[in-house]
Formats: sequence, structure tokens, C-alpha cells
Amino acid sequence: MADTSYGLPKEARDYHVLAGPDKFSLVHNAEQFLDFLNVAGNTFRQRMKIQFDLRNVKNVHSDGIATFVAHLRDRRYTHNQRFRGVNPREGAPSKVFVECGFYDYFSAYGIPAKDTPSKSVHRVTKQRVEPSIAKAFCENAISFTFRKTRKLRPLYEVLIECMANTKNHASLEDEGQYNWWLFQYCDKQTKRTHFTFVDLGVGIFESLNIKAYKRLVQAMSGRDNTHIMKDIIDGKVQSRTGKKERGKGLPLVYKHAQNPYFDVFYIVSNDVLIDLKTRSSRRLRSDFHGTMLYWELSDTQSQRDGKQLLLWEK
Amino acid sequence: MGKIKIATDFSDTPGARYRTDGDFSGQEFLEDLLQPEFERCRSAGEKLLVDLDDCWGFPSSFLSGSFGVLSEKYGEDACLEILEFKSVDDPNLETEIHRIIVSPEAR
Repeated sequence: MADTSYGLPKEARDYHVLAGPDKFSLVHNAEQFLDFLNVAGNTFRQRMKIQFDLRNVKNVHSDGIATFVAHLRDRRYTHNQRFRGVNPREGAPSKVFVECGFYDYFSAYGIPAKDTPSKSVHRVTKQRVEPSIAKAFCENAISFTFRKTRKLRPLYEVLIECMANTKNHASLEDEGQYNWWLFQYCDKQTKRTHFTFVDLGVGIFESLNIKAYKRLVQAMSGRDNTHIMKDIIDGKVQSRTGKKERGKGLPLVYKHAQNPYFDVFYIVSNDVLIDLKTRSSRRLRSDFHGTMLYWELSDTQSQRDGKQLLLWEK
Repeated sequence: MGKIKIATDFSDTPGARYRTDGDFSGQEFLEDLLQPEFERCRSAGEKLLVDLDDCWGFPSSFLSGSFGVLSEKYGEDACLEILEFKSVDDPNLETEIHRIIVSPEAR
């Protein structure tokens, strides 16, 4: 007979219950979301199972789901411990979990099928850059948001730079493999396509070339990572290290982030969150172990400005 | 005149810098297509037209891993003398490549 002393079967009490934050987003609720991830990580490290209770999650953003999935599928994070979850209550939060493809990665019952062309991909690969995936995601997003089949060079190039910048040099399966995630959420109401690219590597500020620059700058001026991030996107790091192939990717991402078709554009890495549209950045209380880029493709800006911006067309 | 149309002769999805980065890298384009054709045109005293249209984009690492390295090998004068570009889709692209060829810090 089941032990019901806590109102739960004994098997259920083996799980540490962890409630999700009200706003399920790394970009829009960084501190609480990182606390949530870090508590879960510490619990797994203590070899305990977790039951994620997401019933009271009120706002869900696709970046939160992408980041959550990337963590739960990483054995360095879960330490092979079991976990399970209680879904958000019916309504908008629940729907975003479905549409973002959360349930593509975990066993679940009674989940409705997606009704948007949203897609996601996880790659553990020796070839970190996969142009065919970038193209497929571009085609999907452009046809959804603009209802046209055209090319948008900044979008393709940002995707390639994200992959090329993957700093995960300690993958699960094998040294020298790159482990990254790309989520694309097509929001039917706004016609925006949300992109989240995640790698759970060392993060920008712990990568070798940036660490060398950081030591130099901090010794001279004591500036923190928020300032160094601005140096990185301004391309100053490359000139200081003198390595021509270093430091070109993020300045290009920053340049493309100014494109009016990208309505929002954020990067979170280690203890920094930066809004690339406004250059405003802040230091986070907790570290995010990896790098996440989030942006939204939208045609509202061009409509607002009364411009018909050029998309490539044949 | 020699001609390379990247989208059809190579790929419409140019990749990153090195072959080890993945498919359709700048190094792959340079070694398998651009450099052999460049050498042939140089020997024959011909121009080489590189058609950039119909590609999804040109990551900076692809451009510097191909045109930047070509310029390092043969010099900017030879590159600018032999190479011509067609880029109706994005007229700025030719300027970007020109900058990569002439400016070592941009490569």
C-alpha cells in the first residue's frame, strides 16, 4: 500500500518539488529565472530527482522554454537524475509550451498538436556551422512573418554567426563536439517569429580569447563584463588580441541587430544581459553558464516607419 | 573572362571560415573553386567575374576566409585587377569584399 503521509504516494515524495517562476523567461525575468535554474542544478548535483511545478507560471516566453529544454537535456546539468513536470494551467502559457516544441523533447500525454510552423533543432556535432539548417529556419520564418518566399541576408548571417560562436568545448559525448540549440517560435497572433539560440558552453566571458582581453582591461581600468561586452560588439577585442579571425562574429550580430526587421535582440552570457537594440546592459546577480541569443523577426517596424524595406527577390 | 556564380557553382548557403567549421566554408570555396579559377585567369590574362547573387547571405568569416586569404596569397593589386563582382541583390556586398581585399585589419 502506498505511503500517503504527505498526501502523496511514497514514490512521489522522492521528487523535490520546484515551482517555476511567474514569468518564465531568461530575458524578461533574468534573476528569478536564473535562480530557478540554479536551484534545480544544485538539486540535481545532490543526486535528487525533481518535479517541476509549472502550474502557476503566468507568462511564458519562448526564450525561457528553449533555455529550460537545453538544460534538462544536458547530463552535466541533470547528473542523470530523473525529473518530471506539471504543466502550466490551460491557456496562453500552456499553449506556448506546445508551440515552442517543449514536448518534442520529453514524454508527455494528452498534449495537443502544434498549429503553427514553429520548429526547433538540437545539434551535437563536430561541424558547428550547418548552413542547411540556417537556410531552413530562414525560409520558415520569412514565409511565416512576411508571407513571402524571399531572402533576408541579416537573418541568415546572424544564424551562421551564432553557430560559429558556439563556445561549447566540453560536450557530453566527445571532446571537440559542439552542442547547440535553435528554437523558432511562430506567434500566430503577432505574426512575429521568435528565435532563441542557446549553447551551454563556457560563455562569452570565460572563452579563452575574451579572458585574455578581460585580464588586460581589468588590470588597466577595473571595468566589469558589461563594459567588456560593449567592447566586444564594437569589435575592439579583435584589434587588441591581434588575431584576425577572432572577434568578428558578435560585431556582425550587433550590426545586424539594428536591422528594422529585428524588433528585439538580446544576448545573455555569464553575468551580462545586453539589449543590442539600445546597447543597454546590466550585470546579473547570478551567472548563466553559456550563451543565449534571442531576437524577434517582425514586419511591424517597417510598417510603422511607412517604409517598404528591401528583401532580396528573384 | 572566367565566371563563378557562387549560388550555383558552389552553394547558395555559404558557411563559416574553415572546412572544420562545417559545409560550404570560405576555405572550401577558396581551395576548390576560387583559387584554381583565379590562377587560370591570371595565367590567361583574363578577368574573373564572381556573381554573388541568389545566396542567402555571406558570413564575415566566409568572406575573409576566401577573398581575404586570396588577397594575402596574391596581393591586393592582383586581386583587384583580376576580380570583378556582380551583386544586384545587395550592392553593399561588393564594397565589403573590396574592403576585405585591401584592408588587412578587416580580414
